[in-house]
Amino acid sequence: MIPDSGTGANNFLALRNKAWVAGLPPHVGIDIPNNVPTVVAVGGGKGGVGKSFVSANLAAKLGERGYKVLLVDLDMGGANLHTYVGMAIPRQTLFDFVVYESLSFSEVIQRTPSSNVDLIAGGKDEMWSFEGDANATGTMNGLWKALLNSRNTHGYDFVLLDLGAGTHRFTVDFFAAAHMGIITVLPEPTSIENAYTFLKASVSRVIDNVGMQLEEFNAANAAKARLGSPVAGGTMQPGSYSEKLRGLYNQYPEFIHSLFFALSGRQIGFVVNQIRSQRDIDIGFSMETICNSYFSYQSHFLGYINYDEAAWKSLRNRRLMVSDFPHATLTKRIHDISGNLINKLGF
Amino acid sequence: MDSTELLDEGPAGIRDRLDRPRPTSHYQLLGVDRLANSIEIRQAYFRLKSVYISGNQALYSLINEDELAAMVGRIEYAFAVLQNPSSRQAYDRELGFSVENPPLKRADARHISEAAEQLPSLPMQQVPAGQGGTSKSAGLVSKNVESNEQAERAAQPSVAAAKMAPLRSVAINASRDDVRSKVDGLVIGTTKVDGLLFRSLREAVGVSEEEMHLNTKVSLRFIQSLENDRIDEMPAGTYAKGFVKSYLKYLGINEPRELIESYFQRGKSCNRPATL
Repeated sequence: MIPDSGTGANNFLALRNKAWVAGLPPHVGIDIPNNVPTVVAVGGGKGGVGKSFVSANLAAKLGERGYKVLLVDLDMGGANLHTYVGMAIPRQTLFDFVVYESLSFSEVIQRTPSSNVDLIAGGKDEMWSFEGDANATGTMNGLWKALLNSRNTHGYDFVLLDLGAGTHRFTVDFFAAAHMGIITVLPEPTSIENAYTFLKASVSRVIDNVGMQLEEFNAANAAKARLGSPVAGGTMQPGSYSEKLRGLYNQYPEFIHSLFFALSGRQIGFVVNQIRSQRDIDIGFSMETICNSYFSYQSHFLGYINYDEAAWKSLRNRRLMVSDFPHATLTKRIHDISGNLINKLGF
Repeated sequence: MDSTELLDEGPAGIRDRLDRPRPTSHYQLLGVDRLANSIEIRQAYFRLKSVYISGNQALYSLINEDELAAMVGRIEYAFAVLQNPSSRQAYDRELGFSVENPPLKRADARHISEAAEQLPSLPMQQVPAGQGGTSKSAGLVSKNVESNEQAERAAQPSVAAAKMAPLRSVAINASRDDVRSKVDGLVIGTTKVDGLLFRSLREAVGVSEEEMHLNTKVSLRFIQSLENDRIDEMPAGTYAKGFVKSYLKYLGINEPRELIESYFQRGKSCNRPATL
């Protein structure tokens, strides 16, 4: 974000940036430009919890506040962010840039009706599906580079990634790499369960990344086994993630130190969607408290969104909610969320 | 919470801390500052209690019933230790945070805490989960109390104990003759009835804001706005009068009527909001 110089706030930001870089995948972690945009990823594990709704409207609100935002549709399974934003089915998609490489990064970026917000639309699902995990790490390299450079090349303050449902490899990769990962939950057990699964997956991805950066694969494996990952041969034990990881310190001091440092450069934000009562709002506060102590992730409750017809009405009109209903309660809530987000990121 | 703490100190600081891995301290568990006052601690405790409650949706799939019970036990124990001033002091000493009277003023406190951080720390006592609070913390106290002064301190009724004890309607000191004459002198010698008078009355009897709050059930905020003459923050007429009445009764003033009348008369003449 800000080059390593000066004291006070600059120093703090430089340190946070260092912590952020420490948890990136090694092929991305090299060659980071000084001036990266703030990466915000919206995920949440379960489908239909409003990830695309939140990202599209949040982007518009951030744009309204004067930040330049790049929205990227990374939902490999069902890309439809363009519909939320109020655009026709796009011709140029992320796919043309990442897989075909027929278009340049600038060419796949499209303006949206909202001010200061640009969009990279996702490709058609059948196009993504043939492309397996074989060269997964390599595939996204170009995209990573372009996104992290987009502040220098296009002047974006925020890169907002709309992730798909599930814990697909790419999805978790992008979530673990973000400065702020927003988790959208509905106040119902299935959604909460998936949110925790997703968080666990992203912690193990950070463990992987740190392990790869330090080339301490044994340590990474031990950590994952400790956390009960069946892949690494562990079984589920009681106790929180942070306690278990701290317990490994005597064996792998270097690794655990880097891991906690990497986690300190990342934040989690919770958004509770479709709330109907005060008790639903309380879930957000509870999740914040629980995740702070359980995962050692800094987590924040960013805000809630009421259950409201306006959401699907605007979708039926194929227009963006915050511009279709600028005075609705929902719009106010999104505005609050964007304010909290900026606050927690330290803008 | 942990991660922000780590971040503040930079990589070298993290190394130092991790070199001596310790279990989560009571302060970390409750998510409060080491210098937090008893009100902050109580607030944090109630917040956690409302989170770690059986049937909370947000716990689903992450924390099972056994872990929940263990967690609640730890929270209760941490609260019991930190809520009692003497056991808290003993605990602070165990953590290597050996300031005799943790000051409440933030600016000073920060200064001292920095000095305290540099002292070598002692290994922390392992906290048994699910222990009943009070008996255990009493043991903690008696083990660590060495000097007479501390023993005296421990003998004083603590806030936690005061919470359990039946409410008093009049302060202990209020019946002492010297206190009585001091109070009477203050009341008779006064020219105008204001917050300052109330505060000096309270201090003359030797009652803390907290003790007042616990025994009269008048909120701390009200006591503070009364003593600072923030009349517009007080509740509407009758309620405010009732609170002032129990406030004065607790200080042993049996005929508070005149004082109350003139206090609120003054509020009226100041052209305050119509609620008074």
